[in-house]
Amino acid sequence: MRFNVQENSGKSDGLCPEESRRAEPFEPMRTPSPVAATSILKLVNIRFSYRGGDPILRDVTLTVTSQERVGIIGPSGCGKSTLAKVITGFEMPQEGQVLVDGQVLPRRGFRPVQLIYQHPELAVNPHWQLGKTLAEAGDFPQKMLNKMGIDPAWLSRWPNELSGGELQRFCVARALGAQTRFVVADEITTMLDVITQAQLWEFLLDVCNRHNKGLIIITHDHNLARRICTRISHFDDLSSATDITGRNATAHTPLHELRE
Amino acid sequence: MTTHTHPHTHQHYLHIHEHDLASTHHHPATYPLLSIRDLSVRFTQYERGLRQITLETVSSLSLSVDVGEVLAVVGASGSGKSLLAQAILGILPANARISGKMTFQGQELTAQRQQQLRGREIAFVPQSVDYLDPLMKVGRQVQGVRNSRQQQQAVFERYGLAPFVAHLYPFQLSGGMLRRVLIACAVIEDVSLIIADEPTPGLSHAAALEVMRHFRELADEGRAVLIITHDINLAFDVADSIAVFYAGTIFEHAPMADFIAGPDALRHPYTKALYRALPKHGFKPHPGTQPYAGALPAGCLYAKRCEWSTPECEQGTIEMRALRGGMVRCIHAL
Ligand code: SF4
Repeated sequence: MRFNVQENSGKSDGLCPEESRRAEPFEPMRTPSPVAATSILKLVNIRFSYRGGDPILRDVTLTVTSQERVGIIGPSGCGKSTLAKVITGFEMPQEGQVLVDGQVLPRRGFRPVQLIYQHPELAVNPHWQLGKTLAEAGDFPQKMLNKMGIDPAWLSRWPNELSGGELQRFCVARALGAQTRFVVADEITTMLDVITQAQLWEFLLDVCNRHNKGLIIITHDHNLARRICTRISHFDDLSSATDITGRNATAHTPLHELRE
Repeated sequence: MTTHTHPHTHQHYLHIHEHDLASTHHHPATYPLLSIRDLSVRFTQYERGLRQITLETVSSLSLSVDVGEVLAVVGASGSGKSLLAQAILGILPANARISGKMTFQGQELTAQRQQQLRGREIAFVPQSVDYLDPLMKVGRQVQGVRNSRQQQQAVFERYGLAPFVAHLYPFQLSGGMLRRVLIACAVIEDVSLIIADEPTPGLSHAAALEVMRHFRELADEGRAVLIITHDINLAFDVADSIAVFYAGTIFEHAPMADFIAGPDALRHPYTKALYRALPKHGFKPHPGTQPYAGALPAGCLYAKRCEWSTPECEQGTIEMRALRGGMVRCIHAL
């Protein structure tokens, strides 16, 4: 097994013990409070390859509840982004299943597992003003847009008139419709400055906590994962992973090694 | 970890002090290797409906870097940082208009000098591997036209590239190897300034750190290295000083020690907010967004988000000034 799973200290603030001891002030993350019923996302023995190539994912099994924030850490090229597409139903695995509350993902209509990408500029229709992009995904109360830092004037702008950080707010908001049970965030703040990064995560974590939506956070940033995840999965090569659930994990890598 | 003289020596404080003085011609001997004063880059564009607009993508940017130093310019992607690299190298797109003053080795960096110095004195390590010729073996590309086979072999050895790699094409190399090839291309000549634009895309943290350490070594051997990156964590590991890039300008240029010491040691309110927003230092989001290049406000570019802002902040240009061993573009910073 080439990955290790680390329960992230089990504390509600999502900090590792070493950080918790430090005297500096921080704002503790709220614990998930069940509002909507708890959902369970299961990946069962997923095998995936592109067009008959070598398998990118082999026997991947993963279980996440909607009260969890699971971090998946690894370098690019290890199959993380492919995993994200399979979990959200954008790619169909050759073997295995993705189940939400025991149901396979619907083929059409609203996706209960939403994907947010690293590059928002590639994820919005360049020929639509942003208000239209947002309206397509549902109704968003003004209050929510304010909290998200979306300036009402941006709704009549075109995508090429906004920065990556501004566009990403639309993509995050759009993924958080009422029917969303899980959100897969694939390196969503990697290219942003750290203030925008903290803004987006504050909002995303808050909505997910309050509305009981599960989060799978794909990142290469250990500090970020340690700050926000309830559980961290660390691997170099997903294709050789047999289980990334953490339930059966026996090998616990010390956090200081994880940080190397 | 390779050994190097890491950051926090007094000498670096001095260099940052000087960059404000670079244009005053009193002490030629103390010129930093590269000095930039009030650099602006503007583009003229036609909007929908053919209205002509001017985008100021770099505005009144000042900074300096000297031999022996690694300077990291840190800012969000898409905020115009790459244009800074292109402006120094003289490879901006043809429709760009440039103003301000750049000096290299104390003399003005004109377009003609840029052309003479590029590749010989000033080297570029690009973000994109598209800068490599896909149809040429990497050994020949690194060797170039001016260097010998022996030099190519020496630089390969230095960057842990096995001799057989010279006979491969770019597509046959891993991401990490390609990065080392790009560095090898840059340093095969004995350059004195290296400009690296996002030199570690898509690498794991360990591989990225390895690349950054190569830059550290190059600086320790007596070159100046300017690294442009969105990843402040990488800067922390190797840089002597960090210049904070925001909406096309530099708000603060401070020694690394100040970024380690924290908000009290830092000068600009944005830099302080940046520090507090780091996942390992509180993850505290400061409200607001960076202004868009087509809609820059008059006065301070940070005024809308700034808790210290006063009416003066929104009038006239805010000058870069020396403060406590660093540089800051804020009238109220103490
Ligand atoms: S110049 Fe004024 S608005 Fe700008 S950062 Fe300083 S105090 Fe804030």
